[in-house]
Amino acid sequence: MAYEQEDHPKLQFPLDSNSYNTTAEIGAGVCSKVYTAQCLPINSTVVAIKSIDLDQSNADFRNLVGRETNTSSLLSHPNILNPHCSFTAGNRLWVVMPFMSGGSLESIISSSSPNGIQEKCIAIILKETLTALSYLHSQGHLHRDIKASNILLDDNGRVKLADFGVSSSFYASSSVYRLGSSTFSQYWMAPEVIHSHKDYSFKADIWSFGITALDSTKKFSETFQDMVASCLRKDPANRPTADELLKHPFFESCNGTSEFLAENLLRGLLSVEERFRAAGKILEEGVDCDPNGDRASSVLLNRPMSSIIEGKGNEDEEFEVHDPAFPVESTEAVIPCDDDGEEQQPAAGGRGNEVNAETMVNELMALMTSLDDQKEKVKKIINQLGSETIDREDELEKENARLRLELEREREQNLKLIQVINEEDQLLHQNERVRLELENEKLRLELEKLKMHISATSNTTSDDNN
Amino acid sequence: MSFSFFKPSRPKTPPEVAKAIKDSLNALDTKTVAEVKALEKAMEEVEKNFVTMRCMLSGDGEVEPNVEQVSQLALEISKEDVISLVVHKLPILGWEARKDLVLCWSILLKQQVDSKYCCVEYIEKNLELLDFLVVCYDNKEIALNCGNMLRECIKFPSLAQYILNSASFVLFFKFVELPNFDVASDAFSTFKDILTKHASLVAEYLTGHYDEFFDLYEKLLTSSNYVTRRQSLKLLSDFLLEAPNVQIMKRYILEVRYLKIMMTLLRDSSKNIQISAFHIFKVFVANPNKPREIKIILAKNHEKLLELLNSLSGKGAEDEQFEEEKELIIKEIEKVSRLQSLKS
Repeated sequence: MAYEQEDHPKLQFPLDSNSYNTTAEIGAGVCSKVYTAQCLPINSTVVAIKSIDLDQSNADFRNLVGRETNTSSLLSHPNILNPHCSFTAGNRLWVVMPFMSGGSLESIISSSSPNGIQEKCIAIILKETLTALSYLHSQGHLHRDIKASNILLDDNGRVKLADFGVSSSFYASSSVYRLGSSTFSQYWMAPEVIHSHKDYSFKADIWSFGITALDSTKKFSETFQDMVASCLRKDPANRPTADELLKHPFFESCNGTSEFLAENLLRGLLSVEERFRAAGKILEEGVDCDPNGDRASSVLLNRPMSSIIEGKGNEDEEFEVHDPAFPVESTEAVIPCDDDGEEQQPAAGGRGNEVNAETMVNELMALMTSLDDQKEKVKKIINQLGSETIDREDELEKENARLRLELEREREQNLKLIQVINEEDQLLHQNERVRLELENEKLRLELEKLKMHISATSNTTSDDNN
Repeated sequence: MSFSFFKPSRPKTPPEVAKAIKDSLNALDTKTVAEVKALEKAMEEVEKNFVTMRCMLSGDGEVEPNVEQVSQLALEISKEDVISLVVHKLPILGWEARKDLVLCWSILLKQQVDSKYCCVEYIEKNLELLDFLVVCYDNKEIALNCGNMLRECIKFPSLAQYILNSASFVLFFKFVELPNFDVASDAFSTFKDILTKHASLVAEYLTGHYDEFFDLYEKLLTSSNYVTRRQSLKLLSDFLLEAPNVQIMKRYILEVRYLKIMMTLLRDSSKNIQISAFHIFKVFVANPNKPREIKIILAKNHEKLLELLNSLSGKGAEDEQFEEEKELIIKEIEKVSRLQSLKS
């Protein structure tokens, strides 16, 4: 059929583990591992296999039997990674997928140069991801786990959104993410709801998309900032839909191709296997079988905040370039001032580690202080130079105005982020509470049930005795 | 793939749409496989008509569906035998058409015209359609589409009751163990819906088919497939411990044969299975009216059982209650093992 022209249209991948020869481990989570493997009966085609330990999942097994794996076979889009097949091998579920040799965006970020990935590449990747998201949403579907480790690239720079059907949502407590108006099934929204703009569940994906975008780069252009800011609007109703976001100037102006990615991003990178070994640690994937796991927080804690802080550093460096006359002063300005020295320590230490929201707020506060400090210093310098020529003064005034604007923007951005963190924090608490409530309810019901049986059975006894 | 550019020239009114669908599906018959081009063309026509139907039922993204048109289309489709036609043609339809159909199916079934579910009533008069859909689980290409359609049907008691009592119901015991995980787990969720959606219907069925059903169910509980064991065990406690099934449960916990199954599952290599097994095993033990044979088994194995139970621990928030129950069960087993009457 025309719409099944993807990779292997009619190939039937075998449904037993003996047909696959695993060659290398390329990823690991708390209860899953990802391997590359050769599919022996099909000319040793290279595939990726995600092997999930089903027994480590504490979550209600019902969720596993949800429609998660199924949905992927009901979707077809060039930017969505569809598993070839899945089957069980002992206690493990094997999900056989096309091998995406470019690896995940997350692994690309962590193994690329410390300056980050150039924005043009990021734009292409994000645009492809957004196209996939737009398709999902048009099908009444939520992804619910947009993050850099779920965005995969192949050798040719083609981008696919993965972990759809084999994702952490597999195990996530569906009740937390229940869609109020969903009628088709838990994860499918009734078609009449899709277009009604009454349900904002889709906007959660947009939020995660914004966080993922933030996470992916260290230097932001203005349009990029604007695009991310729109995704992170507090009121979901104000966030754009995936389709609307595609029309944002940041994506409108993006005309890069997968060839461009292959040429400029993938070339020279370590292989996926080497990247995994170099990382030498478990991929950010822990939510997989942690029923307590909160995806929103994991997305947030993934890295973004620290990279934002690093981002600021870079912009300050840019500022240095703009104003070569005062290199010493401006470098100093980046260094936190003495009074707040202690508070600012975590800004550097927090990189790459899990950071809680509170430290983040502190860091951002500190950063704001530091920005204020810079502003003071700039003022001082300008005062000192008051006797310079008028031309010079004019120039400085302009520069000053520019800086002030920039600072203003930074401050706004910081405030926004603080808000984001607070919200996330609240969400975390809320989720935890909901989870506990559910847990309690379940326990209560169990107890009720047992009591009932015992009383029922004892009734029988007394009946019999009579 | 968007078909939006087809919209303008399509049939407009519900009767026209129903007729167009019927004609285009019938046209598939007149084309032989040899006429590749003609068949493709006929298929395209079907797909276009399905898109029209979908847009009429669910809107096209800009225009909300017209409630009146929706119920009129449901009525036309049930009047014109289109339901029967689409079900029988499902296996030869393409991917997009099947997907559109599944979407429309759920909407159509829910339509009430003059307080009657006209499509459901049509299926009630053509129940073999349900058997057809069940059998489709054997066809990997369309299994998931049929699964979705079946679950929509099962929401209606009359249709669920038919499936439960039809000869094709036993096929589920096979489908849930299919090697393809997608299909097997979809079949399981349908199986589960059948056994849990309408508790009183299920109780009635189980009363009438007790031995037959639990014989088959034993095969699931003792399957070598981990997923089958775990799912079927969980499902068993889901329906067996429901209030309407209390008589079935009482009967079940008198049987040594099923006690033995639970004891085997208590020793399963999977901790999850052990814990689920405990929640059924405990009912056998807590039963104040245990038959002598059950007591003998418990007494004979009490050392092993106590050892097993002591090593078993709940998880997280369930801990406290689990431990409480475990203590109770351990005490009861100890009591039984001391009974003089059991010693021969």
